[in-house]
Amino acid sequence: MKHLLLTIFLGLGAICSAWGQDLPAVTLHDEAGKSIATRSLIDGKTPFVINFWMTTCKPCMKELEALTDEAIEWKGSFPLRIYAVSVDDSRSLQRAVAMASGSGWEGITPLFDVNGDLRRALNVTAVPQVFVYDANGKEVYTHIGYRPGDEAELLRALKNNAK
Amino acid sequence: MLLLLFILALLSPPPDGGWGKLSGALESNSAYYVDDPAIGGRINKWGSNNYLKLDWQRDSLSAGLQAEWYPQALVGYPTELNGAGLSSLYIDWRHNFIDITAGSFHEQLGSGLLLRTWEDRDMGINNSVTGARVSVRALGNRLSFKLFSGLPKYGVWPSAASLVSAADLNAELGAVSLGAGIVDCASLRTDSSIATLAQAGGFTLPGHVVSWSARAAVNAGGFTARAEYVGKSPDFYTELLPAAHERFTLKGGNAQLLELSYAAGGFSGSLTFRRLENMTSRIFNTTGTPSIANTLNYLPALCMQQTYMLAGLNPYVTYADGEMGFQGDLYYIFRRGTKLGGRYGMKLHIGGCWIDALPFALPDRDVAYLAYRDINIDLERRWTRNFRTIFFVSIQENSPTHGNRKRTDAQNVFVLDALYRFSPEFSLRTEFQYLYSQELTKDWMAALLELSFAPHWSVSVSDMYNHGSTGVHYFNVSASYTHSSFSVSLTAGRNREGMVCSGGVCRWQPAWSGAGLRVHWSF
Repeated sequence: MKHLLLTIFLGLGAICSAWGQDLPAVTLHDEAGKSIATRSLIDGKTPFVINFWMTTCKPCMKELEALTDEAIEWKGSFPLRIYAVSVDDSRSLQRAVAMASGSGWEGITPLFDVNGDLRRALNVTAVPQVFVYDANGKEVYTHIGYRPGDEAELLRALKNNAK
Repeated sequence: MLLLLFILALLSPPPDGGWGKLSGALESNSAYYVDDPAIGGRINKWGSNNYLKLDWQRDSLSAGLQAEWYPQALVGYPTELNGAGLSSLYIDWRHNFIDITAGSFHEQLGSGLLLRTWEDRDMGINNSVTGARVSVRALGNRLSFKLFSGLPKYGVWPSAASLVSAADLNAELGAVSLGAGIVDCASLRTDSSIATLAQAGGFTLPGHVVSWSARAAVNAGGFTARAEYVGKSPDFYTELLPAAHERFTLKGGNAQLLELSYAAGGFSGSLTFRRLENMTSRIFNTTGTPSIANTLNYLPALCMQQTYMLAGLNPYVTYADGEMGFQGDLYYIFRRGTKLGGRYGMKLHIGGCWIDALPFALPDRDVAYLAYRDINIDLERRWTRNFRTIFFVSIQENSPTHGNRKRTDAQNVFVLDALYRFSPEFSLRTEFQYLYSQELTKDWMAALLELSFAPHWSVSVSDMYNHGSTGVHYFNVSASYTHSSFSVSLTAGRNREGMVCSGGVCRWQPAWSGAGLRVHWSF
């Protein structure tokens, strides 16, 4: 059984690495609790960023603040759509809503993935993790974790895919 | 049967010439433990938790599996995990208004007080249900109904101890949403020790435990209010008595939750009230040491989980038999360009929580005291384009008897967190922390230095030192590398025993010294 699992772990992992990911079709919620289908984020015109965060994650806060700074600086030079998807559980939902409203994230739209449907669909096991999708919802960039300065690479990916 | 459906789905001819998308993730978390006289002998020589998850999607159809392998689980993780297995296998068909799942799935009803199945690898929890689920949506998703039944997972396989069946209805009516749910947990097996105790106590274990909830939410302007009531039929209950003799009986449960939040301009605030009475819902009854993975609902600590090393030394853990309390948070932004905000702005957060025990859940039933209190403030200021600081204070008071006695342990934690960017890619972060206390292990100090080389490398060194009592250092060094969705980190050092928490749920972690390797790759 152990050898079988090891074979599955390594073999299928290697095969699958050839495929890219499209944005999965799941339902998120906005600050008012309204349902938002992820596919509705794809507008066919502009690329966008999905950033997974949670209230107890300090690197997440630092990344969102850095993206806010960049959003202010890059405003108007190319279309910038950033969705900050909270993976906080239901206990922290109200705090996540308050934090998103009170943190001054200009140009960032907060969304909420309370039971982790999008998180599981994208195999996100640690936050922060960021994804950049092109205008058709095809993943063009991803990065796990945050170090100060990571945002430059992310914005480069976003700019390269702007039409 | 499910495996056959899964294979057929993968092999069925593609209608559009495409074979769909395959994605997945591989994670391995291993540690090598060494003997360390300062903290006692090692429990095991090594431990390793490994996960492979694969998902396939084509049009409306998706399927997936998760394999888990614990040749020897990491210390502190539930021991029932040891072994290997295909812990999850599912096939799902989703159309405009309907979603049908056969196999393993995660689900949450309302806030999770009624039922929540979820995975948290840091805690060793994955209580996914294996069975069948149907979700139906109508009126542009404003009306939704779900129905499911199956066996919850315990260890690496679905448990044959309980059959969980549930129904849930949710309606969004403009600014108001209403919902209700019901869960039946049918006991398919009872521990012989439990049955014996039940006979001695003169009661019969119920074949079914039924829980239900009603909830409502209102959104108006920047104001949000949510409320939920949960009731539970009589369930196995461990009574604590003054003579410290446990007595087993049957008792019903209930819970009330009220959440309020408001946001306007640079200000936002939230307030949560929660009361619990006998709300532990288990996959199966046990009189032994309860595993945190033996759960069917979600009862996280109401108090905010602190993330700084010393502030998180003694976190609050939910006492589901009986507690009542609140958590509040206020956020305010001093805008850029204002007198206090300066050129880059300043952020203020004030948080507080207060938990009282309920007397009927305690050995001395006539009176109950404070169980936990935490008042914390953090002030974040960016001074220049390259330099920012966070000043954090937390004043905590914890009852070691869950409020059964008046005595509490108080501790005050002070943190200065500073980040300086030498260049766009190269930065240094430091933390200096001090914990002042006259109780428990008295005073602590801690420091952390972290160098980051974006976008790939970071290294850090930290030490927690208990100079008030034991004189033990808890030092750690770590290095990590990240490229795209691949990350690897190596840590080495000494770790203190105590509660480790994730998402408000905590498990006991014994002290250990050694080295750990964590690899994650998603594709």
